[in-house]
Amino acid sequence: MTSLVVPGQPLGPVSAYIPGTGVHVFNGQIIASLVGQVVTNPAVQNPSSTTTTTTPSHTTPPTISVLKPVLTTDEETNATLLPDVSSTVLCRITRINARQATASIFIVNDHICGDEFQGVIRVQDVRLTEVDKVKIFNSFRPGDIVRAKVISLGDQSNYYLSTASNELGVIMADSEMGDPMYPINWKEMKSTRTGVVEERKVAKPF
Amino acid sequence: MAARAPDRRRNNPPSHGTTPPVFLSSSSEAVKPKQPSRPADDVRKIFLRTGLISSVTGSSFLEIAPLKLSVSVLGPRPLPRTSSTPFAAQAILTTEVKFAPFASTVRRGYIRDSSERDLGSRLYQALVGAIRRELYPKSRIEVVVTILDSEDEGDDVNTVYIEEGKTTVETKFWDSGRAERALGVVLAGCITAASAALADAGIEMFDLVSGGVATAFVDEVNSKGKGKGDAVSNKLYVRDPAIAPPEGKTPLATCVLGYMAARDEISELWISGKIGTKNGTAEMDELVDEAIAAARSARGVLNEAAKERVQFIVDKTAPAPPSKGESTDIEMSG
Repeated sequence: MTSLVVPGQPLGPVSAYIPGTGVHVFNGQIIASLVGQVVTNPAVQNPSSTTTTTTPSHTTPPTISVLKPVLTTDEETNATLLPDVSSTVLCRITRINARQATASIFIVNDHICGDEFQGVIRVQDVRLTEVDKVKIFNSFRPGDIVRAKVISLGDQSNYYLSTASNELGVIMADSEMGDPMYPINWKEMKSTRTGVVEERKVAKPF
Repeated sequence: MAARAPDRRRNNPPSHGTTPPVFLSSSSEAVKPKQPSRPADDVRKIFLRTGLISSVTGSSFLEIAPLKLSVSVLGPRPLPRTSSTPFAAQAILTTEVKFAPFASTVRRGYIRDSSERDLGSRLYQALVGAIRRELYPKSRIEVVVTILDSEDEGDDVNTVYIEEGKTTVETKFWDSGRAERALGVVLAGCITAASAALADAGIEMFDLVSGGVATAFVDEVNSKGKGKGDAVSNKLYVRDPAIAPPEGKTPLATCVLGYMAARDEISELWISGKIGTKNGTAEMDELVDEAIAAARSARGVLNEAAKERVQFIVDKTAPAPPSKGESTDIEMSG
């Protein structure tokens, strides 16, 4: 049975470990900041020294972190999860105008967040090339599910998102008639029922 | 309270008849406040459990003899979308303490009164330094404490009454530190329980904060005129004081603090009463040390309570280890 630690409990000196998640450093000691189990990732061998020299200078110390276990039923939901710069999010477009599309973030790094966060995709962040020709109306529509990257924590209310990459963009969308659509190229999607083609900034399917 | 507005125009009886309540005849002698039957350096037994409310991020329930309270932690959740909210690089902590209307010996209202707001701001001070707020930008963390039962006697008793024409200020009770002791025990409980709820929520903290309270008493004769100089020698420090003072003693001062034991830091300090006026800060330090000792006792319970829920999850998710029916019950004593 693994032992549990509480916030404030010292785990080891900084000279022996690299601090991971759920810990902080105080007075040269690594201190737990969560209630949970201590996880120590073994020392990684420095790739430059493939010859098995036993000198400790060639190995990096093990990483120590504290993980809070979750019940399998609420494993996907993480209430304390917040979007951070460069995290990949899934969001639903809520409003669009000529300058930006407003979206509601509900998945951060493959985890469902406890609350939905508001983000915006500005017109200059929709795609990587020919930025001047981008029209929001031809890229997103309200209701689309978009995979995006957080580029900034933004202002007080919005996270700034970007879809300027092949893998980012609309992954699910309905046509104007309300039928689901499938992507036919990087900028168009086709309705499954009527065959009508609509413009979108489509994410590259994996 | 989105209930329909009551009908004020008619007399509203219940739709079916009621039986009048029958009470036992009250005893002739006045009800004396209960004397604590424990040594002065002992604290009451603490019951603390986390994760009881499933709809919030973290929660806890605490019981110390008459005191019962529950804490909910909500968040980190996005800031409200009003233009007045500025960008917050660190999480914004809000604390709210509310007595249930039936929690005091005198019934309280639904609207927060001054002592509840005061407890709320003191709780904020105790917790704000312990939370790693920089990890949660653009979000707020709400701590909501509901006190279900306490020894507090309500704001009417806590208030100082000044009669017209009188120059002296008198409290309703001869025992001036009465309200402070009752509220001090409540605040210390709030701090301990809120830490447990924050730990249950999985919010990263530098250390757990536990609350401690102690009161300095002197012999009654000493406080009234002669022999006042000997007060120091007869001082009695009571940890986790009950509302009733010990026999023949009168209170000097009460100290409540929030204490981070692993870092040896005090995050909140509240001393009320008359102390440290004669012999410098030495007596005040003694009082603070007693409160720290009480907080240390609470920390032991806090540690175990914080682990208990996580241990439960670990046991449940683990693929049924061949344990020998090991008891997970924890002795919740100080």
